Amino acid sequence: MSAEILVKATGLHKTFGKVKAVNDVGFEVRRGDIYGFLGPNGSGKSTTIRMMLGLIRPDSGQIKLFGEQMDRKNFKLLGRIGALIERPDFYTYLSAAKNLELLASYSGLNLNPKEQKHRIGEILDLVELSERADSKVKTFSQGMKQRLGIAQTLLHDPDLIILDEPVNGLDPQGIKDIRNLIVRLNEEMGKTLIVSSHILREMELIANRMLVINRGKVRVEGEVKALLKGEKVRVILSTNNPEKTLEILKINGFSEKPEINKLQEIIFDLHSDRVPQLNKILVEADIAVYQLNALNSLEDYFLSITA
Amino acid sequence: MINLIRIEFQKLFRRGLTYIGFAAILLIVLVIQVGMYVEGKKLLDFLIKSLSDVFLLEGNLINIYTVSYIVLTSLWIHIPVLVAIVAGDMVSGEAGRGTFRLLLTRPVSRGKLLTAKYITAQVYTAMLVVFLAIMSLVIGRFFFPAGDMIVLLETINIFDSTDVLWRFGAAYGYGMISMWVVSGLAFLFSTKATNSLGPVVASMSVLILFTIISNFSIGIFDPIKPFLFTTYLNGWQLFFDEPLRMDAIIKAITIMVAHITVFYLAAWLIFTRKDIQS
Repeated sequence: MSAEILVKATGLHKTFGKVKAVNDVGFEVRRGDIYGFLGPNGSGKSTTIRMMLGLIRPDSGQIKLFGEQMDRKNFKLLGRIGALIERPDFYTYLSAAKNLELLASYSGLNLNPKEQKHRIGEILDLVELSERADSKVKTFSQGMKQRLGIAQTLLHDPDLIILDEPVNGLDPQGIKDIRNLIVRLNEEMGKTLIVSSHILREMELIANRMLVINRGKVRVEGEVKALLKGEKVRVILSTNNPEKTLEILKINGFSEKPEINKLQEIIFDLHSDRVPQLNKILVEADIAVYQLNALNSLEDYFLSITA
Repeated sequence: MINLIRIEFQKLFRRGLTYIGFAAILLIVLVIQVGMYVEGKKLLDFLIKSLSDVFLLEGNLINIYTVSYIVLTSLWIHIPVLVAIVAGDMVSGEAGRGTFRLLLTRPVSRGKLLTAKYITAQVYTAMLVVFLAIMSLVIGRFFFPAGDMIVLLETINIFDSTDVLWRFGAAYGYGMISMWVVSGLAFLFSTKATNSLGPVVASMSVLILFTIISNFSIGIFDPIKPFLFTTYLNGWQLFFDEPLRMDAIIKAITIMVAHITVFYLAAWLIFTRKDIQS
């Protein structure tokens, strides 16, 4: 039996002035997914996410959350969602705990002061900020704000968590911390997550399903493993003797007419099973291989749109 | 709704900006009172010079009531600026800080959130006017005695000290309504802006423009003058007229309440339809 569909978007369109920000976007997120939203900056990721949350009204199209139509009148659905959209902005003149207390009130959590304090302590502990609970947010680093941003999404124990560019502006350690936290939320707490990013590597590491969006249109969607395991790969080859290499490619049936770019790299498509064989033949022919990159179609596509 | 208003108050009173209004009012009142204490007699002598030739004026005319009356004139420009600073930040401040993304992704009705903010802004405005009243009448006690009050409007009115306090109460009540109009206007601009300065500048510009139209004799604007709120901003003076012109007072209050309502409805319409892109 397939998993419950928590989000179903169909035919979303949004135009700002003359700019078509989102053009016929549709996707499904199932319970238990870490669903990656991948695309370069300005591709329409944030607009799509904002439409899901009712921050922006689509010109046309439909969004269903938990099987119900999402629009501004149905704002109660947001009680089942925790969201961090772009920058983690808070009331910087208030402490981390006070910010969470206010946001818990907006979420309609009917907890007595003792329960609320306990809940906030628990959440801050999870994101490793309990020691700074009473510090004003203006004293926080970007990484700490990002973790506090994730903490606020968890306050009301939502079914679905939406994180828009959660690793933006973080150092490598901060990125790793957030990545681990996302995986923990999914694996240990059973949360479904939608995570947007413009970094393919991040998505590969955490997402099980993914949508690639560019210029407002969906380019690729599906299981990450399947997307990354394309049968044909694009080979980028750099050797000490390009002419002899071209001859070998032709003789051995690897490629009849490969492209050669300005860097004298030879580019051609090849079945992924044949890449080791290619390497072996080149080495046996006494050709020094400086570079042999085999990119799957998703990487190839993503590099082409982010280059 | 009460919960939302409570949250708005918590946010409001934990910010330094909120207290600027109270500090400024304290300063305004002190400056006027010290000034009147030092130079008041000379000023009053100049103002009533022509009257002194005709009437015999006895007693201390520089008293707490005369000075409080002068303080009330700050409702014209000073208090509107202070009111606009906070009301203009109520919605735009959240947009500028980026905190709308946090609030509007919670299960909160946009209409209720806006109403809670509007009520908070108007209660804050009322608090400023009450603070002005208390400061002018309480601090004044340290500088000036009580006494009869002379008011120079179209006619000369002299009120017995026992007949003054209720007039001040009513004038401040009226002043509160007029400041609610200014606050409502700044709040309306706030729903369109993403920084706090814009709504303050915009509401002050409208206030100045409408005041010019209301007070200058430019014939083509005569038909619209009765509908401009600025025509009624100094209407608190009606409570220092004798006999009291109730019809004029009721008309003024009705038009100001209409403005307050229209500004709120317009803000509601804008905010509930707005795309949050900041």
